[in-house]
Amino acid sequence: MAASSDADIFEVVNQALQGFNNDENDVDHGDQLDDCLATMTMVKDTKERYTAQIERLREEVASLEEQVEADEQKLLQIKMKSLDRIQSSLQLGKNSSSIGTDQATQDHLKLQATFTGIQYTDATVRIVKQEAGRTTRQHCLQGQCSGLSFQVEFGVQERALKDSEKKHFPSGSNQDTRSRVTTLAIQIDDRASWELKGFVRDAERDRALQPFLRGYGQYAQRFVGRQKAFEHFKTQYPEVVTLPQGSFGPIMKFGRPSQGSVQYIVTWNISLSSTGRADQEISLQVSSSKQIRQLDEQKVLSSAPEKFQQMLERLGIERTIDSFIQAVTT
Amino acid sequence: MDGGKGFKRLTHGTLHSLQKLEDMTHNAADEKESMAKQQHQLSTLQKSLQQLVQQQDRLTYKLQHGPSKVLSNLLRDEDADIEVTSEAQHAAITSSIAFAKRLKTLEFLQAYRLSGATVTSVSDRYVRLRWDTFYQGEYYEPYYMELEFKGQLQVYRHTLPHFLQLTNIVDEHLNEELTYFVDEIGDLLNAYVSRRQQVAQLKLDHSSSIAGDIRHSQSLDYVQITFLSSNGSCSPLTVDLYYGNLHATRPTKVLLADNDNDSINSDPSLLKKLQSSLKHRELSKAISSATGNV
Repeated sequence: MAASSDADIFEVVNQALQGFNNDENDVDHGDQLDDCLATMTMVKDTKERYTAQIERLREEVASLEEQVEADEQKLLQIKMKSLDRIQSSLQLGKNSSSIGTDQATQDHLKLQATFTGIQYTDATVRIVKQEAGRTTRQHCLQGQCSGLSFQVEFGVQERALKDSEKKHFPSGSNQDTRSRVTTLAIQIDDRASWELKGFVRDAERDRALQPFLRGYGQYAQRFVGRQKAFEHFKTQYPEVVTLPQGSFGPIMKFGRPSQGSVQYIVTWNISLSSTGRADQEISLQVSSSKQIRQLDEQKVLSSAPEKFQQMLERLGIERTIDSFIQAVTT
Repeated sequence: MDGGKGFKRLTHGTLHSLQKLEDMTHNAADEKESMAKQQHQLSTLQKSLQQLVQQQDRLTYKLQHGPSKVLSNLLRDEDADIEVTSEAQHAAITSSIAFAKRLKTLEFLQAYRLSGATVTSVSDRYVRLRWDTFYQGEYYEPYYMELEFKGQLQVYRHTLPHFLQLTNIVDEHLNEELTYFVDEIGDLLNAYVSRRQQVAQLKLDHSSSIAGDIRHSQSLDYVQITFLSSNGSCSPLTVDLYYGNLHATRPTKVLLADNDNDSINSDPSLLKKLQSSLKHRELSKAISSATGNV
């Protein structure tokens, strides 16, 4: 029986087996047994051959799958602006972020952006080192929080967890790996750097990626709130209000132009705790000449900061400042 | 069947074949069944083989013509104009861009977890919150809570530790300010993980000088450590650490006692050193610094 390929062998063996199974074959039973033996040997050889080929192919497929996955990971090294450039030159449409993503994923992404206050604009990932049970990646995330830009570059070492470590976790955590931030470099918006310099320095030193991301979102919301409030008062009372460090700064001054020697100074500082929770401190100071202070028999000026704090608790920030400006200027 | 003829034939095959042969001689039904089985096995093997060959071809094609190859060719020269010569090329680039952007989107979703708390819409009435715990540059286990909307938000179920006393936090903040509620829980979880990992690190660093197990409450807001004396001349020293609340990651009260527990604060200078050290350092380093160990 000559058979060149696997398919031929399969066909020959199959026919032989079918022939043996056929009751109508009028042949000597002894010859039939001879044929059977030959067939059985062929079947055995074929099965062994198939099994060996399957084993080899499985290994090759596994290796190819690894290569394809590594190849796909390389896509994450490409910057978003490069993808956008190709996209625009091919006139693939303007809505770049939604291309390739289904509506459910887009909705989920929007939900996260609203919930965290972070909008990512790019993410690149490069595998630096890969060894048994451990992978080190270099990430770069770019984004903005309430219009304030940021970029974090960090190394992450991911290691597979041992069973003994998993058993301490609460049910449902389904965690197989643990990630450790090995390096962290942070760049933040110039408008915020004067106020967050210390926080950023400490976060980089402590590799405090989570507190930074959480805190920057909260800070940015308050930063924008302060900026809008200051701009609002500057627009509302242009003759009275000055912003010595611009609307991004923490200080707003006001005073009646005719009483140039009395200045009310609102200082509005925003800080972040080491765990990434934002807090703000607002205070009022009164700057006046000695002569004016002597005339202030009812201590209106010296008690103003305390009254300001009391009103803050009752009325909130904007109404308190507004009330003070009106009281001073009318 | 003739015995001599049968023996001659039997010498040709393997033991397996001999058994088959004998079975076939005596039982025609078995013969058919066995052959059908062989047929089936061969057929199954051939199908597997064909599937693997197809899979290999598909992967090889993907490797040679996949999104990575398509885009890397285009991006070789950043400044060059992109020229598309055929519809097929246009289609390949379009799908490659879509694929790359989808990977980016998935990466964004992963990145949101780095900020500590994320949310998933489970259905119209349910949302799931997830907290990823973090301590000293390392991400630890996540915790989950599902909230049900019934006119206002209610906790449906959760995996948070029972000692967090959720009722108060839920009553005070859940329907008042969700962001504050999420931050508050996140801080409590991170503080718990911090206390737990500090004790774990202490065990690792000081195992030879600690007598027995470290005793602690479930929330680790109370920890008792008994240290063996370094030279055996004095009795073991017990350190009791109390954490004022579940946000605390540093003990707010420290007590020292000797072996009989009858000499509280027996060593004022050591106590002072320990208290000072624990304010600024994590547990293991503070103990090392105050006692001169490790």
